[in-house]
Amino acid sequence: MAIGALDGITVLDLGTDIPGPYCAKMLADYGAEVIKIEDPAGGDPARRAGPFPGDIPHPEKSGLFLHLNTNKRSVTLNLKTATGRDILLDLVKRANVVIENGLPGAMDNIGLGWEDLAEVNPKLVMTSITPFGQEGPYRDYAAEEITVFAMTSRMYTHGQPDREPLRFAPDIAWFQVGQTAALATMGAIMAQERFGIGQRVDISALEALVGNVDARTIFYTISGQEPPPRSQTRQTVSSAAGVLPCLDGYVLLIAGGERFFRRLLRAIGHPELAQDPRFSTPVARAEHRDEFDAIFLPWILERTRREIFQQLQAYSVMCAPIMTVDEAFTDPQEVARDFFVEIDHPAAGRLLYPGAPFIMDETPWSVRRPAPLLGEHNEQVLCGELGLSKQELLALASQGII
Amino acid sequence: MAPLPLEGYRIIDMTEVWAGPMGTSFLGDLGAEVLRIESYPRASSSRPTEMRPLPPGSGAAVGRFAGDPNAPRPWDRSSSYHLANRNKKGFALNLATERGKELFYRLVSKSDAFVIGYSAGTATKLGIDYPVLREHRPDLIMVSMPGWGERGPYQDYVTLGSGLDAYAGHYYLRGYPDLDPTRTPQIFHSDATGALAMSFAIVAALRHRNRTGQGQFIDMSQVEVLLTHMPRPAMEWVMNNRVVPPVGNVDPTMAPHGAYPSSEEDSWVTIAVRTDDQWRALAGVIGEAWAQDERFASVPGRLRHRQEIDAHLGEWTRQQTNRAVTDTLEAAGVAAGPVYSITGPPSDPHLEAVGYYREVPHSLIGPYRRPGPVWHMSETPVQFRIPTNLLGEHNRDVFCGILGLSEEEYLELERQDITGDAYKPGADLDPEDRASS
Repeated sequence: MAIGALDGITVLDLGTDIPGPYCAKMLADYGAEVIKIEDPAGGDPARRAGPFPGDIPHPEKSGLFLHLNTNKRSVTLNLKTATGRDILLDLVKRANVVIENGLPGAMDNIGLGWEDLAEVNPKLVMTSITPFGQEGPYRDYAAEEITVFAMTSRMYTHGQPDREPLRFAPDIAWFQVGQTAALATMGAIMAQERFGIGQRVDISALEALVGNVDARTIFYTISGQEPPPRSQTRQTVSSAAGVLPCLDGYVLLIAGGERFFRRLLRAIGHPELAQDPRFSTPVARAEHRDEFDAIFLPWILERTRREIFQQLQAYSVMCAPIMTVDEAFTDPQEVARDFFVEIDHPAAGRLLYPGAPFIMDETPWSVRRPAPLLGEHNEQVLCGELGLSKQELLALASQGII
Repeated sequence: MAPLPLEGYRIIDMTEVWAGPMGTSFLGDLGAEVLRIESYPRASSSRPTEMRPLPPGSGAAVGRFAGDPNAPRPWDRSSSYHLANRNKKGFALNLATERGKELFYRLVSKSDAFVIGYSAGTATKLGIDYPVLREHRPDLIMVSMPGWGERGPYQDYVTLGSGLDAYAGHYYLRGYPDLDPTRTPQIFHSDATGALAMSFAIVAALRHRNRTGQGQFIDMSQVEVLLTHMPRPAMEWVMNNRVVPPVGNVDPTMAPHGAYPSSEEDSWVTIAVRTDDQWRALAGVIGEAWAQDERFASVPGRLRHRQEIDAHLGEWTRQQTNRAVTDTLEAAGVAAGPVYSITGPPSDPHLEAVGYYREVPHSLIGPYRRPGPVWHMSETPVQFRIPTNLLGEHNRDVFCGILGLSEEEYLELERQDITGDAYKPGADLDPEDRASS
């Protein structure tokens, strides 16, 4: 079997919930050896998040946890004990990367801060993910996904003017933060392997969200002009661009620009309208929108999402159906690409999971093992790799250290 | 000073709008030499040739200009282009000509990776698909990142990020629970996640090549990247055959959790309470009788009485600014944050204190402030070394410097419209429409 692109990289995942574990999953699914370090008292909180089969909570059956922790081994370790700390430092000596998402100072307080880890492994990469970064006035602020997202300015324009602004879907921002951490960690791994550099990677969720794609803010910082107030920046349905009702739901259409509007006219069998003075320029189109709608809306309303999608895409008109997440599972494209993969898990059974975010032809994304049971690999890692005896392992268990 | 992680690697960027260009900017941030090839003499969608009104509701702001709409070189002024392009050199090349193709192959032979962001047929049509390019560079890494991926029945389909958001189910999930989907704004979130996934893929492939000498082709579907980011609704369907409806700002495990009105017009503050300790802290700050209600003391009680709590809390927040609510609650250890408008992040005291926004030069529209990098690395910090490239700005660096053409040979390319540094009117229309307009 082909090896993964990240074969031979050893990662300790001390993360909880989404950002740290997702960062580690990106590395694990492309071949890194990831050991997940979990609190013996209950493990990663994502184990309690669900969804659960039949809505019955079970620490080994949480859908969020199962997805986020594929290809990882689980070792339980109470890092607040001296012995637990020593064992972690032994693991750090053999690791390339440590990933954690505790609040700033939390690792230092248990003697496992950046200086402590770098002392035992100077070439280590330590990736720390926090809401506001390791420095600055908000570093100790309490935060949840919604309170950080609100401060990016992305939320303000996301909603109707007479209503409260909305966050994006739950978890979406945290996934972006974890993915940012994965890229930065990958860069640091290259510096480690090529130049022998160890370093601290500090991910601020706020900066990761503000510094990626956001054209409105940079429009403001370049021009000094504030964009129109909320009421004027909202989605409104126009016939060539927007979200339109059709026979079995809604479609999203992006054909307002010159090139795409002309393609749209060809697709609906009215290429001659490009020369019609009512529709030949964007300004004219805006003035005669009702007249265009009289031609176009009947065409849309008598077709299904799939028909519109296929018939407009045949003319390279940008459009897409509004779907629910589950519809992608059976959509011809995802079926043809085998995107969803079946994974067998000892407690949760055989289930379909979202699969590879990208397909590497020579070093495939692969599931070598399902998400681990809590502490499943204690013996394998602590005895097999660190050389503890079975008696020592039992003693650690009886003291609540593992 | 330590070398940057990707120092010494050359990556050719042939992508448009946001996801691709942002991703290659991240590679530039990591130290790679990124060469951006730009469509010529036809303008790409990243380089609008005139100021035109956007359809209402489009959040894209592609083609929005900073400053005077009648200023020269509009294609160098679009703020969305500036957003997604830094730390790269740009050159223009007509790939539809034999000479253009030959020069491109020579450049590929001197490069480590190539990213293409067009629909799947394009590379083959242009004669630059992976089997062809491999003949010029056997260990080449190539990423193709069409919206729906390189392979499969939708390989030729076109869209912007908002269409991918719709198909992946995110558009549906993030709407108001009580309003129909036409009331949900379009967003371009898959551009952010596509940028990150593509650049991650390239670094991982470079790492593999370092160890084995093996290059490879990578097929990235931007939709599939986004589909890995919503596991809870996906697993709810897989496990329980249930379609999760939009939930707005509600969280199944926290109450209160949401956006609450503040004293100024159209101004909001977010508050999220996870634990009973945080609730007691919040109740202490509020100091009103309702907050002491025993029914609200535990998580299950608060979840059950969510609406009642929200109504009371909204009355309390309405009497103060969102900044005051945030400061008071954070001092008590309760998570809160103002819903910033566009002007918020650039003037936020924390981002100011950590020096997040950076002033960058630009010969036409600069200097201006742009958001900083998306990570801090202690030993290999990101520098904004190269300002946003003008069209054709680094033509000579590429054709003469890297490919070794003489000045006379270079000028011949310009004469034959194989390269250039300015577009003619109508350069962004399809050929059949250019004739008729």
